[in-house]
Amino acid sequence: MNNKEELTPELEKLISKVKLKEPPQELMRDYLSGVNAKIDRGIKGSHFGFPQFAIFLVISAVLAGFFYFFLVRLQRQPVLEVKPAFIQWSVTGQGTEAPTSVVSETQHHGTVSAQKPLTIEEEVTVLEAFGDEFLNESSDVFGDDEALNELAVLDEVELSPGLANQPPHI
Amino acid sequence: MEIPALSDEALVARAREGNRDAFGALVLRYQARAVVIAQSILKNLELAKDASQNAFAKAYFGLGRFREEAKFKTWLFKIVVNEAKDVYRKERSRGLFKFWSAQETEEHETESILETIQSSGQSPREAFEAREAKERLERAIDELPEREREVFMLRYLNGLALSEVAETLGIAIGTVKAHLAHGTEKLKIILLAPAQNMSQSNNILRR
Repeated sequence: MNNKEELTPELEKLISKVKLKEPPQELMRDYLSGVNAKIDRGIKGSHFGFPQFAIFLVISAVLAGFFYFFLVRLQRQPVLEVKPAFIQWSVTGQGTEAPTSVVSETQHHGTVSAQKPLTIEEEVTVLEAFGDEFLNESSDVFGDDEALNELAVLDEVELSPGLANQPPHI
Repeated sequence: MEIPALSDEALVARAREGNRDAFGALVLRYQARAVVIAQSILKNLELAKDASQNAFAKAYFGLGRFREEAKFKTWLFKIVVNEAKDVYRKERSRGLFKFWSAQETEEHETESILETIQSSGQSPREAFEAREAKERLERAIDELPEREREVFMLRYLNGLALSEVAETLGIAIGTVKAHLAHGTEKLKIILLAPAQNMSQSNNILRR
């Protein structure tokens, strides 16, 4: 052992009294055959025991979780497509003649600015036409003309001042 | 010339050609050193034997990658050190699962890696002092950080040259020197400091 320039004399003296323990002869007797056996096996004997299995299980669970949250769940999530809906009326008739159609659908915004502003008379006509159309469509939907007529009659009945001021009884 | 008398280089050349006897001669030449190096990391003879055997097997399969300009000895020791560290990590992680797999896990007790040098005509007192010195040194080495401990063991207890230590651990010679300087300084403090300075020495060791 040379070049012990880093050691103090005390430490050097201490080290000189000891040496690394030599492996016993009986342990080394079959050493070479053990090496040859490992070479013949091709690889060192890998041990896949419980710890390795547990680690594998945990990693698999984590990966499965990631897969579920980032792929499956995102695909299932409904895409809410909100489109601005508005009603477009097109007035084709003049005077008291009712408009021909009431269109309700999703449209592009650009069509709004293209509309000509209506006069008051035209607006009233449109609203009346809308009411008639609504009643017709509602009756088609519900199929009960009598009930709708009754509702229309009730709307026309003027409430007496006494009844109008009273709170409704529920 | 008989195989055991050949140089390392000649044996390596023959082993590369598939001569198992030549490789066997290399194994016989370095098996004791390989076990001792592995034991200094693992502190268990059975594990050290198994790890060093694995290292030899890996060396056999890696002979094609062995560079001629390097020494076979240091190349082999590097594989032994890496294999021993690998086994150490596996054993440590296996210890975490000991609770669940107590029936499977074998208990590997820590063994002493040093022994006293017996000299003829040694008095019982001298023998006792040598044994005590061995235990103190072993405890002190155990307290060193991992890399400083490795460098110290390879340099002073395995007797490798600085360049061989550097090659074995894959670090620069300057780094080896620095680790040795720090390691020996810490050992000096641990071994030679009086008991009242223990707290001071502990502070230095934590750095």
